[in-house]
Amino acid sequence: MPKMLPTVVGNLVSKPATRPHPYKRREAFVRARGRIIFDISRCIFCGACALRCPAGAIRVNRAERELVFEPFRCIVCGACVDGCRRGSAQIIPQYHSPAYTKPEEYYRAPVEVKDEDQL
Amino acid sequence: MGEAHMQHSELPDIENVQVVEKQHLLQRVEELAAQGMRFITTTCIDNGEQFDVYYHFDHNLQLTHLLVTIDKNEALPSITPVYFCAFVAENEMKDLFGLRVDGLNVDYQGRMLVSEEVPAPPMRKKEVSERRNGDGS
Amino acid sequence: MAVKTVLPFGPQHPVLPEAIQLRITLEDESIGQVLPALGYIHRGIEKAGEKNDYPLNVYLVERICGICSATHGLAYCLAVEKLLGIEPPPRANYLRVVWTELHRLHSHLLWLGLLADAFGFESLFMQIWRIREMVMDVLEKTAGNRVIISVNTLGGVRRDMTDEQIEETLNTLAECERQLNGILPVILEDYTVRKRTVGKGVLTAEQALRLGAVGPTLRASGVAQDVRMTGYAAYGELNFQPVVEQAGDCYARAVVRARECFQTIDLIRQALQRLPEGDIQTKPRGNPNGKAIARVEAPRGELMYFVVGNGTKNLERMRVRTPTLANVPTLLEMLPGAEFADVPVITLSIDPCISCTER
Repeated sequence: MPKMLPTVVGNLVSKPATRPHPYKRREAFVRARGRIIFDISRCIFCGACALRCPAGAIRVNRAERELVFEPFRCIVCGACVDGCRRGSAQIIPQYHSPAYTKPEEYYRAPVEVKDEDQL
Repeated sequence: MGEAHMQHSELPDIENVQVVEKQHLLQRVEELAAQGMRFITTTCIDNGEQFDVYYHFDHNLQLTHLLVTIDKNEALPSITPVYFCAFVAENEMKDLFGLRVDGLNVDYQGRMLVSEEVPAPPMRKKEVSERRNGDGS
Repeated sequence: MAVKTVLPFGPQHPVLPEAIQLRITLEDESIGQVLPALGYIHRGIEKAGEKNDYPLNVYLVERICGICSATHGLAYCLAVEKLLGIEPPPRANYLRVVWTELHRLHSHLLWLGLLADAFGFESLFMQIWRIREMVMDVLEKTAGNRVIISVNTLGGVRRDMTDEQIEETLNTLAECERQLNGILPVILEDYTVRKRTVGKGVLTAEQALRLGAVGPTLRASGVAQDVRMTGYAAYGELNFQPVVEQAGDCYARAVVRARECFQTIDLIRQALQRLPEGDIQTKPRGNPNGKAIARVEAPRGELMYFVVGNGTKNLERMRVRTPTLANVPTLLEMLPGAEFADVPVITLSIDPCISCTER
């Protein structure tokens, strides 16, 4: 009994060792692999990311300048980020939040206006 | 990326391979067991007409290999009388390639890994019925 | 007159970490004959490896097993680098050693926790996994993920470690070592733990060699074989000896793994202190052609990859021989004659990783 007393008193007065999770989340580490996002203004639709994806989560249509990405097929390996020469595919450290359905993300290139008369 | 223009003799290959006929296989394996070799595994490669079966052994971190080439409908003798642990690798070859192995001590009849709904051994090469090249020919 | 019953142990059992079934023939509480039934996690990875392009196979192969994922990637990269004829730069070799050894540390800590759980010592299980959380944090800060760290690529590694990350790693390892020194005597010198593991599941040295056992299962029987001594990826320049015990029972296997934790921490310190400067990857060129074998020491034993290329961008054959596939036949000799209550402890002592076994 006297051997246990310091431990018991210490456990009574110290604060809990766990974090109250949904109310206070841990910040993601800087180099963690969370999810992939595309910055479409830099993309040239070369298709290098689609060639390197082992899960087949990216489809690039060069003629119509369109990119389709399925985030729930992605395994966040980062092969597309390594292969993109323009810096359009990026990894951010926050995880994708859970969802009820599996959405697809469509990206379209912004249309260039060449002539003032088109407006 | 260009293709590698290499001669056939310069291709990287594994060392210490001894080619063995099917009849002498058990005898060679007994000689290796007497030298204290540890059995690693077997590998089966389907090269179209026949099966190439490699047996890999190790002694003090040096590798030795035996190579047996047989036809697809022949049967191999099992080496489980000498190495008891070989039944896992030989059953796997039976399941995935449909290779017949006789004399196994623990025999799963081709159902160790592959379930009953699979009609044909999965890892055999399939027959090519139509071939089209990239330029449309 | 003995009563014979056939009892299926697994595939779902509270003590088994993975799904394997052992059909045990019992005669009044002692075991007669054991028959394993595999095939619950067969995913056909060798076939998928032939359909993928060869660079994409690195991602496929890392996901064969979660606990030894970096070693599978390392073995595949070593084999294909032999076929392509490229050499990774020295800094990449040292970084590969650091990440592989961190992986081994987390795997052994996981196993020690599961051993404590196998005989109901749950509070020790939680304490050991708490130490393991520090290692997982280091892996996430340096490599990107906690479990499938994905750092190996053809020709080198994908990421570099900055100086402050190296210092943070060394500090975390010092803290881990201090806590392990405090907690491992509890598991290794406790009377109850010794009563349940000493003298159970004995494997002599000739039996172990003849049955093809690898890894800590072999080293606990007195045979000093460690594939790291062949000197792949900067192990040839580090200073270490295989950890060997003589008894061959479950207690000896636990001691081997515990001592390997300390050897791992020492190896990481040596590698980080000698880290050379330079780049981290040489670019792969061409298509693989020929045959090559690569052997790597995974946390559970010797992992062998046999890769055959035919000059196109698909491989002809990719053969994987995982360590648990070699350790499962030892169960068929260790279990007969033992008591039924020892079955979970003996099965756990070979460290089964069934998702590796039936890729």
